[in-house]
Amino acid sequence: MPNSVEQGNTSRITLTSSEQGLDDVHEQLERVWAQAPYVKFIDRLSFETALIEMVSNVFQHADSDITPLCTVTIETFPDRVESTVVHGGPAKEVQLTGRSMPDESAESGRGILLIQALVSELRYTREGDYNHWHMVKKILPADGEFSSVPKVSLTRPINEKARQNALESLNILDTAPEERLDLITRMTQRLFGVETCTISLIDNDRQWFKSRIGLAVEETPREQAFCDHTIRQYDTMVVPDAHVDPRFQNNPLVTGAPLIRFYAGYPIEVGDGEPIGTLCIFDPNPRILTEPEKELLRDLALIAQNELVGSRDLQQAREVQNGLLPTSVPDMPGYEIAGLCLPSQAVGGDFYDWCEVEDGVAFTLADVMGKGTGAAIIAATVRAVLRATSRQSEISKAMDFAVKSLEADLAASGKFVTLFYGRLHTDTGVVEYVDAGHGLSWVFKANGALEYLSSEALPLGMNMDEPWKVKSTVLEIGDTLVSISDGVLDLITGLRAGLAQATEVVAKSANAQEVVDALQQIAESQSAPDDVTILVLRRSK
Amino acid sequence: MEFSSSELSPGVAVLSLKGRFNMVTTQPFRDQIAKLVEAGSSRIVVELSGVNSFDSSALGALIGGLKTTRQAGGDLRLSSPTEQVKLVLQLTNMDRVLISYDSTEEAFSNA
Repeated sequence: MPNSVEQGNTSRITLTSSEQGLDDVHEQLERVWAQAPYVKFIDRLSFETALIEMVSNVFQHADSDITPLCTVTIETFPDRVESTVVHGGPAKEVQLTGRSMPDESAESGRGILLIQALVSELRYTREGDYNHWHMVKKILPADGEFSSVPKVSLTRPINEKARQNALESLNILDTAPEERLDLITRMTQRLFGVETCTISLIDNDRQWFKSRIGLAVEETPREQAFCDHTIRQYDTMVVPDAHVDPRFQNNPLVTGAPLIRFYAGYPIEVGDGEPIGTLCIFDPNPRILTEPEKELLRDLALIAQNELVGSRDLQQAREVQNGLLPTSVPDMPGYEIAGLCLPSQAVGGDFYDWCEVEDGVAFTLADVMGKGTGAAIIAATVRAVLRATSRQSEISKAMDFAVKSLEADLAASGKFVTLFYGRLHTDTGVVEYVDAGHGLSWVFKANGALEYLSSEALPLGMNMDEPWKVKSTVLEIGDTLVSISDGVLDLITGLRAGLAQATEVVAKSANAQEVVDALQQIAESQSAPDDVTILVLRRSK
Repeated sequence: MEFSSSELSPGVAVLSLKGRFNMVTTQPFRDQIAKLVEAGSSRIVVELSGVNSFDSSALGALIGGLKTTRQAGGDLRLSSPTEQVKLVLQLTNMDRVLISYDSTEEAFSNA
């Protein structure tokens, strides 16, 4: 008995010698027909003749004494039987069209033509070091019932350019691991009890792992990638034992680390159904996947696919959110204003904003409770409302209108917002402000003193109907007002040390933008767990 | 594949085949034909009812046998081919050259 796998409608055997080979195929066919009794005699006869012809051709044309390792896969479907014969050896120069039967006295040269006459379709492809012969035989419908199972081909054509474009549109290559994807691979790895699970992306000439559990390397050459075979299929690809599969038995990932023997993968598609990668599992021990397990792997792959596509949507959301930050600086001679917003995820609940008002500029730094998309939606709403109410001549009125407009939204979302909202009167240097539960704003005075802009009001969304207490301070030449989000606090050990560090930064900087740049450097040198936002207003003369 | 041969009439031999007629068994078949022709039977009926697999190399072997017998002044004819053999002969148009008969007796009844 040769190495064989019988699974559902699929049967695969590996032929080890030409002596036994044809007998093995006959026995395989007997097993296949026993599983597919609806295939009529005449169809069996034609398919069998074609397949035997194919396999004997392989043995006959083997160019050396060494038997080419050859696998024969037969798949039965309600409307057809398919077979793929894969064997090593040099590439074949195959002419499948324009041939005609040789002269009647010729003793050979009829094999390919005979196969073509027997089956509906014959294809030859060279993949890696292997020759693939693929035959499809359409069969007569079974008596009585008519099957409506959709026709699915074994292999899909790949438009490499469209595929690569679809992959690149995700902007995900060479990005850091993400928990939301690692969650899927970790879960999959445990569910199947295998050593490794990855989300593999096929990128030009390599496969790169966006997520990997139980695998040391970040990428492998594409020609070694099992997943490069998977993306050419419409369904779960299973390699029960790579040691007996000629496509993989000499693969460096099989002969060396990670010593793959079992592999299963399901293609991940984006855009117009372009297969960009897979969710796959593998293990150093051979294994068979049951039909329910195949379905489970498919479902998990679809979850991974949604996450990958979701990250593209988030990327676009991030661009939109960045677009909401002020891009130009108001014309205020003697003053500079600069800001920075670094969301810890693609989008965040922090923002800063400024806009010109009658005698100066109104500015805001706000922090919506929470992170991510939900916080970002509320942040955009708060920004728009504050922009609209900034037309009010009095700061307390502006805040009142803002609170009224936002009340319902904040109550519905269960979120609240801390913010520092100020107005600079450029002629006097007076800054009027309200601080709604934020409490992270200071003026670094030119003489080295530090003035804390204290907070007495509660955050927006706390439903407090108390009047706004407007405070004010005066910016003198060389003074710098700095407002930060609490994410900045995560970056420094203790407020006191942080303020000392900030004092140093402010003293060294020649203008507002330099303060922001220096603080950004500090933020980026560490991985910020929360959104980091900074607003700096400086009077230079 | 198993071979058995008998003499139907002087100069006319029946070679019965049983089993899979494929590339593995073409050489033994050629040897059998050569032996029969050497022994004086240049007219040979190849009896195929027991053949359960037949491919293009088997077809090639039959054509080789046809040439061998004709060179010796005889002929090679087929009797009781199975459905599969008929299918291959028809698809390759070789049914016009390798003539089939329903029984071994009929094959050379006109000769």
